[in-house]
Amino acid sequence: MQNGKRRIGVRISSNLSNHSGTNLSTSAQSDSSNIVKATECPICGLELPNLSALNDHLDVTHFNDNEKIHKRQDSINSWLTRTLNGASALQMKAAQRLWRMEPYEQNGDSSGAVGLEATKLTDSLVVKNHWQPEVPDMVCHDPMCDKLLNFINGHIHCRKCGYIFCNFHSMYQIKLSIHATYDSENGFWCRVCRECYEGRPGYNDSNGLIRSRFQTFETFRKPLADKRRIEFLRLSKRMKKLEELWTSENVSMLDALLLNKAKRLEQSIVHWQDDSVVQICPECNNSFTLTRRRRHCRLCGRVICRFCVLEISLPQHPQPLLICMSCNQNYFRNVLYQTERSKSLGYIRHIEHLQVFRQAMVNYYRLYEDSLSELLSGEIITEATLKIVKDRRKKFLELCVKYDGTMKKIANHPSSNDAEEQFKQNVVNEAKRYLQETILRLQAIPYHLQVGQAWTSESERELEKKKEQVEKKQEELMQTRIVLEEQVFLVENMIEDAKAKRKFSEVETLLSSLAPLHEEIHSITEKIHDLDLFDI
Amino acid sequence: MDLVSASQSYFKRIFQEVSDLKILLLEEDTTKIVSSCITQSNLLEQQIYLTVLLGNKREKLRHLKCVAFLRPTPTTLRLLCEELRDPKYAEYHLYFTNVIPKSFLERLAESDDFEAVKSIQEFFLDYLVVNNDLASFNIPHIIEDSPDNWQDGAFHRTHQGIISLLLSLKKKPVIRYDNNSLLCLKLAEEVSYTIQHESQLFNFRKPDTAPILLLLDRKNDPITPLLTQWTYQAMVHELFGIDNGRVSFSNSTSDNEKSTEIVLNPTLDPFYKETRFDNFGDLGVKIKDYVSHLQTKSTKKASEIESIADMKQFLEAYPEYRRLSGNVSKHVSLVSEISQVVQRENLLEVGEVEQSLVCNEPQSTDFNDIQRLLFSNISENTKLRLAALYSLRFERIDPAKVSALQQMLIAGGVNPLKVSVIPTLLHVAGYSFRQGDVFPPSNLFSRARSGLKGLRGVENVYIQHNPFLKSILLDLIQGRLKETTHPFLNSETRAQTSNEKPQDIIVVIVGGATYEEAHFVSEFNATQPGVRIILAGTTILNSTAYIDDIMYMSTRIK
Repeated sequence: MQNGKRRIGVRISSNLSNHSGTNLSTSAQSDSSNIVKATECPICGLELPNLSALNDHLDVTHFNDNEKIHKRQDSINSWLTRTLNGASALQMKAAQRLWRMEPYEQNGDSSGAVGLEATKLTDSLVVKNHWQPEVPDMVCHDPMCDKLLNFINGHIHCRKCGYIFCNFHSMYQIKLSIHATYDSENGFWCRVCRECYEGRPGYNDSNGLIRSRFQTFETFRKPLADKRRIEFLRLSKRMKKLEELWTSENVSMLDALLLNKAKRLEQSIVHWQDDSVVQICPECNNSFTLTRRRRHCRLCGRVICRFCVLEISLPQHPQPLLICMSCNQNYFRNVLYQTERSKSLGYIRHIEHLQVFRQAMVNYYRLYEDSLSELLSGEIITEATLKIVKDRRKKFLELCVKYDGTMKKIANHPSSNDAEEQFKQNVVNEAKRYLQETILRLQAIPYHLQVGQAWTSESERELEKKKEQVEKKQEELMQTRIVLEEQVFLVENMIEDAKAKRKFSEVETLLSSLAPLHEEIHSITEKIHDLDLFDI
Repeated sequence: MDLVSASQSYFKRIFQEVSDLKILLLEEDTTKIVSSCITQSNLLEQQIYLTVLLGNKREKLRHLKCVAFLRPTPTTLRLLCEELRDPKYAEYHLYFTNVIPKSFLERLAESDDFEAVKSIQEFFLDYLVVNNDLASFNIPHIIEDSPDNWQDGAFHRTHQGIISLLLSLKKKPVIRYDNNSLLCLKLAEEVSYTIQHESQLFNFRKPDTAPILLLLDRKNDPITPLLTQWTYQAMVHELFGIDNGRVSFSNSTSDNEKSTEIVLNPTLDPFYKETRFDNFGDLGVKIKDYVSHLQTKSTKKASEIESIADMKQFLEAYPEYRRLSGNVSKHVSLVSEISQVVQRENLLEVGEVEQSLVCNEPQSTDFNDIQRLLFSNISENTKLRLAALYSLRFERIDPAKVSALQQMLIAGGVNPLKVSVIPTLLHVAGYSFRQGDVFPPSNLFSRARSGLKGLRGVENVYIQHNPFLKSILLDLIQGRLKETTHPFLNSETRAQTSNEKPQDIIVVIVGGATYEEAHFVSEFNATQPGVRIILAGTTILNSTAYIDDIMYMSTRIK
């Protein structure tokens, strides 16, 4: 209802429709005043414009007359309370001024006017034709506020959306352009509602700033990386040649063992640096001595000392390959890194499966819950629907078993180091926790669910009620039968008695009354029998 | 303007960008930052199954991706370069908490031999999120050799913290600062320089009213950190200390000496969020309700389990129930521990004396109260606190008694070394070094007002005190904050903003903020429509930390 009322004033953009709207409301007002024109006060005869005014008039002028005598004793008391209330209200007002009600005291414009003054000045600049037309008895547009808009609560148009608010809910200010749109650069300070205040673009932006530096990083890295890539290609070509050297047929194992021959062969791949050129080892900056001998890197041919050279043993190589640090970094470690990182380990694949299963479990769980709740909603159960529910449950449980299995596979997978072990442990623990939580929540299918029956707790209860009623009725009938049987017994006794006293006329009448009694008993027994059958 | 949602948005981004299996690489500082915003189970849900530290020795897991959340410091750079020369993980996604200098990127690029780095981003989260409107930079000491001189590291860290705070909130502020503080001035200049220098970053939509960065110096309000606190969060911090959401206290009721560690996080614990600003009395009532709420739940459960359906229902509700009961017992033990300490330390009496000392007119009876308490059976720290408050109050009124008090402290069994805190405190934050008045001014008018206050009765004797920050903020919001005490850094910004009502305010207290101030800030946020305030401190102080800091100063200042 309220909502509907508020929507009366939906933003009307064109002047024309605005006009007709106000016309309508004024005509309605005049109508109502015509009807109640003749109202006058029944006590003092004062003429009043309408009923509500009369009501007010009665309350104010004539209310105290009747109770004046009563009130006299308490007058001092009431005066005291009144003043006290007034004082506290004043204090409250002061507090409000201090705390909340002074939002407009600043936000001035260039002319030096501040606060409400300034907003009054700018009002002539910013368009108003979207303003909600004023109707009597309006309520503040704020959804949480139901204050009547009047002189005390205020009725203020939000300059932006045009709806009317009470004082409290319109004490925000933003800058608006002359077209009443938000303009923080050149706008004028205008009074707006909370929604418009908080709805400003960027006001509630809770995402922090992010800046990617990858491009700058890439401009630094790219030339270096390109150089490295070329170097890598060169080295890998030489490496290939080196490998071919020992596997090719015209080089025998014996040649490899002959140092001179080997040296010559290796020199054919890369030019060895002259010993005499280098006095200091480029890796460790020590000068060469008798003990610190010169060695040549087999991949780049540079001279390094024997402490800095790395010996790498390769398959099919008769002797370890001598390599300098930088070639090791540029070639061997690179190769190792690329292979190791692209290697897909068994347990990683299992973890991926785990994720897939989990996704499927979430889906099936939802499907199952949906179909189960549909089933329990009171529809007639058919074979098909029951089957769907059962299938889904089964599927879900199967998935759980698979999930559990995969989890165990991960746990049992051998790990190469502690970090991996810990990683796996964390994965398994998390998976376990998840499994436990979901299985605990899994709802069972009610076991007495049957095809062709609507399962609701209500229908069950009805059945029970019926049964109870039947039993009650049965009991009632039994009672009446017992009473009747007793009567029959009495009548029979009386017949005996009469027979004994030889009053046969009496016997006859008694016998005739016995017959309907027997009939009645017969019908009741039949009824009871029927009810028994029903029960079965 | 919400620190919690800002920090959450950052982590959400990380999890979106690297969505599969990953390892989280942190360092000591960022571990604190991460744990202030996110929980372990949250990390596990996002497939972060391993968290490692950059400085530690680690084993290779070259088939896994790595998300690194680091601060751009020289140490980090060195360690990271070493790491990249021999990468341990398949891919590196680097997230830095602050602006990365170009040279930093260059060195990284040189070290990235195997092109393992896949992305580098700046996520401006270089502070600890304490409440949704309270941040801490976690720097205990900031002063070098005089109260006006920054310690280099602390200065750099504070500067970085403020920059990241501004960027994560997307604010380009005008700066106002405490006029009597050289620390604030230097910081203001540096921040302003960075804002101009990094204009590419500080390129936000122009707001209606420029946000205000208000830099304050702790020395202008030495009172607040010395007072006994009576609201939950502040009390816990005062008595046990909250270290990045963790509280450890030794349980005195169950005789074992083991200290219990609990986690207090307003985002995860609705009860804590609701009660953290309640005073001790209200808290007791709330706790009682909370316990009885649990009891109704539990008794219902125990008596009603008859059928399988009930059992099922019980099991469904059980994890929730267990969580609740865990939380209840946590708060109950914490509150009972608090009341133990309150009893032991006679804090009710101490608090009353403190409040009358700080909030009322100076009276000669104050000395007798203090004297009595100094020789009673309370801890050294409490005695020091009382003496410090008295000294600050009576520094000019009765200097003889202030020095007599120091002798009394020693006589009362306080370590003479610690007593030296008081002269240092007066030297750093004494009357002649402060601006504005933390104490209610003593003139005829105020005396009349305080007389009125006495008539009306104070709502609660223990929480009469309002931090100095409150009056500063009220003045600021109403446009009455004087430029003689809090000038603008650049005079041209003043002309634009002086007649505008501030909307977004970021307050940084150099020397540390307190939970009492945080309480008032969040009260402001709740009651002042259209005004949003964020409080940050170089650290979050309690009286112990503040006295420690003064002690530290006393050893350094020549």
